[in-house]
Amino acid sequence: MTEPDPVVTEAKVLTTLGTTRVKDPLVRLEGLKKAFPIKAGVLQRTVAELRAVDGVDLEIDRGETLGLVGESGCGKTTIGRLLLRLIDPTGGRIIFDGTDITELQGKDLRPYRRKMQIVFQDPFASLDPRQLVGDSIGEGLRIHDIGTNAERRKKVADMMDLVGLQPYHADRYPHEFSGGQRQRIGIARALVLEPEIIVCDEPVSALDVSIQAQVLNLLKSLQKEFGLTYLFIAHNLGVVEHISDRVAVMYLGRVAELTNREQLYRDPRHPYTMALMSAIPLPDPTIKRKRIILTGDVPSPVDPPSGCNFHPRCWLWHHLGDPEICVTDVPQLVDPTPDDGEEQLVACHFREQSAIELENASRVEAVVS
Amino acid sequence: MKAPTVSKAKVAAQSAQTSGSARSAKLRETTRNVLAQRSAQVGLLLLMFLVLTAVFADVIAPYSPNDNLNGPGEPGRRAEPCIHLFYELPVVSAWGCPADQAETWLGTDGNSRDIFSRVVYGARISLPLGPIVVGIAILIGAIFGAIAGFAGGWSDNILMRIMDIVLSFPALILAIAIVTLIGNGLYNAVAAVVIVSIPLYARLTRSAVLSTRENDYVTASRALGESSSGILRRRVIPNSITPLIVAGSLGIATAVLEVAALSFLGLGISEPTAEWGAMIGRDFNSIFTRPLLVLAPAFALTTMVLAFNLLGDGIRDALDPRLNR
Amino acid sequence: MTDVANSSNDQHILEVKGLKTSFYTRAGVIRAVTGLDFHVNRGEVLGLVGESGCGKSVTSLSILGLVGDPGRIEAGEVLFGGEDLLKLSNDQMRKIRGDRIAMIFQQPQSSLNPVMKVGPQIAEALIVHRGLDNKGARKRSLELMDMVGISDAKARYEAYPHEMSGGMAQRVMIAIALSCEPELLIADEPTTALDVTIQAQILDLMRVLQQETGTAIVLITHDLGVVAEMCDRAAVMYAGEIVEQTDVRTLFAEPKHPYTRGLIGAVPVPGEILDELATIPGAVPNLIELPDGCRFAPRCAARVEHGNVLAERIHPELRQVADGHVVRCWLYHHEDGSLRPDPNVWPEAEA
Repeated sequence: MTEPDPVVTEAKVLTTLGTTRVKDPLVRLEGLKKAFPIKAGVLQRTVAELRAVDGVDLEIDRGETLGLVGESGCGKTTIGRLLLRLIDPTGGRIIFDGTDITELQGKDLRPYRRKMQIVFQDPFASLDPRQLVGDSIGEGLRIHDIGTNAERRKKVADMMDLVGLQPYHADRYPHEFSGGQRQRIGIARALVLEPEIIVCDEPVSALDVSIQAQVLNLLKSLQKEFGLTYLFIAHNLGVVEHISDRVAVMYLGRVAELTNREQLYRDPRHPYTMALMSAIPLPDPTIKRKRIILTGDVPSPVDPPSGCNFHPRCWLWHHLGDPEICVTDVPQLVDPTPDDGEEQLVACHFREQSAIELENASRVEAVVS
Repeated sequence: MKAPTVSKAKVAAQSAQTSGSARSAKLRETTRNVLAQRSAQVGLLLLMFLVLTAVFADVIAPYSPNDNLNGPGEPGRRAEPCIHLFYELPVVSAWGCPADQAETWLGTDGNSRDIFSRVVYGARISLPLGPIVVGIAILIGAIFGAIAGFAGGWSDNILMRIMDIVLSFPALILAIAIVTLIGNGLYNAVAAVVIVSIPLYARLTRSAVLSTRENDYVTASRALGESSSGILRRRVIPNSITPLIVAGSLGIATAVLEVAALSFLGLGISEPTAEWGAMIGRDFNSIFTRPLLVLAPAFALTTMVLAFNLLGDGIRDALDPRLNR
Repeated sequence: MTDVANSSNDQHILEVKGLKTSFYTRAGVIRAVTGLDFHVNRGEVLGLVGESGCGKSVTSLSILGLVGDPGRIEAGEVLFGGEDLLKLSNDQMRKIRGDRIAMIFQQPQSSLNPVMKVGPQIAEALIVHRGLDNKGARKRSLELMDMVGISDAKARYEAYPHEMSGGMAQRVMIAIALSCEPELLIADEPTTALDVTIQAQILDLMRVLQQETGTAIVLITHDLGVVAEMCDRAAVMYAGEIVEQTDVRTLFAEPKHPYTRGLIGAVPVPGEILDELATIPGAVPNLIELPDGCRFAPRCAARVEHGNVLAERIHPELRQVADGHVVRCWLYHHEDGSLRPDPNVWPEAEA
């Protein structure tokens, strides 16, 4: 059952400017799909499906942080849950450390649960209000029956120390803690089984700026100490860029652009990435930049647009005179500049031109659809 | 490196000892919150009064509930028992009845049994009935609801449609039908009321489970490798229980009335057992001629329903999270 | 009291003086806002920035007279066009709200009436405050919807709030807010619940409309980026009071208060790759038991660095450090710039 995947991971080094990607995937997602059925009527028949994740290929290297960024409904959270096998995919494969875990169930999956953990967004919903904090953190040890009671308590105390909590906090209930502290508790709970990868699902979105910085720094230092791999999901590009080595930008269930964080900032190629970058309000009133205001809302994943699903909102599409190919063909993730040593995958038919066209576009604003 | 590890372990050991007290502290806090409610205070007071009555019935009641004060086996008693308090109250000097007369407070019923004694002893049957009925109904309802809510799919559909069918009948009519089917008697009456109460608790549990299981801490448990039954037992059920406690404490009053109604119709407790509902039913026709026969047990029943209702209100208010924040 | 502004008073559309709002709860008295002084000039955008619990939203509710039980406005004046709003009756206040002062909130969907079509909700404000008839109100509503960028206004007029996306609903809210051409708009986290690209749309819309109409805006936000993009001046709030207030360029170029500096340093900015973010240790103080001294002192790196015991004991005043730039910090309290209390405030310290 746990046959190693035939495509064994071989360390391949892609040298880039300033960064080096050591190609050593711990997790590989291959053509991952998840459609949620939409039921209606008395008989609860499936009348439509919501395509949350629509064919995603991603590799997460050992020890790196892969950032997953996108707006609500882009499928980023679903990818995290699929990776952890908390929900079952409708297509594609999840390969963890060379083993296909897509079909594993129950007992067979348990050993992998120890290696993959999650940190949640909402610090209030992520802890059982009736469980003492110490018990929450030690829950993984109890479930996997690791150590004696004394050993477990020691491990919990160590974890609490690691994330900056006091020993006496173990005997309190979650409601006695602030949001930032609860997030630390959640991180300690995820760490207790010494996982290899942690899915961080918007871990700082609900926190105040000053607390957010504390938690981000904590996550970074823990990664250094334990060689953790992170899948960091967030909607805030500033945060994602700060913590990630590579960033995947998602739109409507597909990856629009995937590259390292320097490249993403310096030379984004997907029109959506460009718009997203320009939409972030920067805390510097002196910066003047070309602002791309996308019109309209993100379309419903129940009935996504054909071809490139970004085309109805795409400024470049309108700028180029609505080319047919964007409506008919789904663009593949391809590197527009394969020889520059930077891995930059862009799912746009006009990936070679986008940067130049942005300069030319006088009024960077899509026409109302 | 060694030293801090040791001290940490020590602290951890200490913390383990205190964790029990932290739990009981939470229980104490909840109890305090409940007791801070005025309605709960009154309800509890009334309930305590009733419980004491039931416990010390032997002491309080002057006669056994089934004593025939007029019977052949009662030497020295005349045909008409002497009634105190109401009928002959102006003649307070008559506290002492003639030596050959049995003394009663509220008079006797048609079988020459002391009404007051019967009402006092009735507490022993009527008082535990409500909590027992609700307890069993919650237990079964919670199991159904938890399975339906947690498993979903066809088991949810089947269970909930059955509950809908039960709910579609007026509770009392259905209970009457059930008792008619399975036969009269205290146990059957209780069973019937339990059956008609189950759907309420099943639905409540189901919706509580549905909302609880969406919480991130449940997902976290799953991610840590917890089994479905572990999640249900350790995470979902403990966090779904609050609405059940509230509904249950309010439902006791309804259950009591339903059992009483069955007894009233002669389908529940049979003679000669003293039970308030049955007493009301048996002598209902005498309400104008001998009002105390009906009013005494009715007053007791009303007091009990009021007590449970007030207590239920208090618990609901105390457990309402909106009041705490 | 330090004079916050030098400009003449008729320039001020809104002037808040010594505002103090508290909430009397079972747990104790929450001092949400303690002695707030600021003003808004005609046609400017003033940002109120701060983290949760700093009192920025309570400030907006106090201005609008919407502080409900168990909250109480205990002191201060809210001068709007020279008139103290706190002295007005509920009826008088109701006439001002939505007419001369409008507001938009964080959750557009829940601010709209869910069982009423959105078009009539815009028209309602016009009928109530402007006395338009149904037909006129409808015509003006459609114009407003067009103005806030709702395409196909005629069809959307008949839509219910749940049929709209968050961005669309916020546009409707803005249309309602602007329907009576208010002199002042209070926007409480107007884009926090929205996605980045939709936030950009709404901010852009607000900027354009502000320039067209000249409405003064009080923009309440936690996002320093939004402040930098939208505001002319900004007041940074901490634990119920203003700790620094100046024009936006100065605020970001030369932040004076250690808290402001910490906040700016804590925001990860795209393109700036840092190993570690600057952090502010600890958490905001409990508003029930506010510290006697500087409220930021327990978290303040500058206090530790300068070994200032004073800051923990005595509450600093808002002091002017430059034209229109006020700071509440002991670092700027003495004329010679040293970390000493002003002799006028605490004479014994000089001795």
